[in-house]
Amino acid sequence: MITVNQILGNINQNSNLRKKYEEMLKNNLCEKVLITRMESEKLRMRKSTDKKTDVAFMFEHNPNLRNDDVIFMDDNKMILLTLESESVAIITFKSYENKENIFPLSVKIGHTLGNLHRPIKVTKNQVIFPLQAETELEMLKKRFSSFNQFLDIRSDNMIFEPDEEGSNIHEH
Amino acid sequence: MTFKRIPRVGIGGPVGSGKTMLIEQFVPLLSQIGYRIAIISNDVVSKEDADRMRRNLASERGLMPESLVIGLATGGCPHTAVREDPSMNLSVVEDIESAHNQELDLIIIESGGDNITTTFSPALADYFIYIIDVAGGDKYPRKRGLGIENCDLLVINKIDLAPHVGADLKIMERDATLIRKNKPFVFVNCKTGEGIKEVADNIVKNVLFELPPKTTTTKN
Repeated sequence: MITVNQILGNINQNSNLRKKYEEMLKNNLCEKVLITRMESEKLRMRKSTDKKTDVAFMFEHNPNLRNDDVIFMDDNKMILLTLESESVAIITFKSYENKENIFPLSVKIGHTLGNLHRPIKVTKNQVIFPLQAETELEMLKKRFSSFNQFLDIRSDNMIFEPDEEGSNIHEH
Repeated sequence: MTFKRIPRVGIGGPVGSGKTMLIEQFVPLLSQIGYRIAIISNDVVSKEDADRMRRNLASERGLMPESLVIGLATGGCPHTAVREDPSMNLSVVEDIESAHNQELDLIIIESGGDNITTTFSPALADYFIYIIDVAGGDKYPRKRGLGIENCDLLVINKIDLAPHVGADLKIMERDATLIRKNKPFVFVNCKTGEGIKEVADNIVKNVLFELPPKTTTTKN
């Protein structure tokens, strides 16, 4: 059993680790542990890699695990995390031309998502959050139907990593 | 690295599903191995379940000191005390960790009875067991909800009642398999102890990492 109590880095943010990953990948020395978004906040759990290596996670504080984090590395093995993809809703602001609608629309979206208690990821013109059921998308489209010309609402399946300040939110 | 944090298991489920009895069944199995355990039992206004476990597990069977079965009357909705604001539970957990870090192997936190969306804050519990019972009907697993879908172990209790309430265990097994993908679930009868060893085995493997009890590896 390999015990993990710290993250060594992320291959998307650390160029040395990325280089090492590419080398080890060529030599078939990389293994992956699949976790869910909810598990990404766990302080203690036991998992197996895709090559059946037994891994025990033991952290003192919320590790905020991310996709492509490197959790173990020696000369013969590199173990990375893969976050499971999930169904999300993507609300896109199509137009900012009609400025008088932006404020009420933003408040209504915030109110709706707040009531759903969902973590969110906000980009320049999008808000993304996990769906628990596809019927939620229909509910959203109906609720915001009067804003059709400003909004696009669709679902997708993706690895969802919430904004950090929004990650410590319960869902129900 | 030395960890002050003692592993924690959260138990949630609807009122009457068998949370307290599940604890009363698997704690003796873990104690038999030598693991030392504390229990925090949440309830809304009473400390009924904690009093019962203290009497059954501590006073009568001597499996733990009476002081390590702690009742919390949380008020409000039960899930708020284990998820939205677990500070009351965390404060008790931290007191236990400070006083008993050297010998305690596990802390069990029982939620008050709640609905199918119950979950535990990862800051409070490392492993989440959600328990439902057959008497609620064989539709229960496919009704989904965060508790049923995302818990680490789904326990389906009162299997002896299935023929009396018209519940088909095969349907429950099929739906639980489908909804939980590769996550485990187990059928139990907390009255007779059937299936309980599997619950204890899951805790030993996934929470205690099959390590020996602390008292066998440390000097007091």
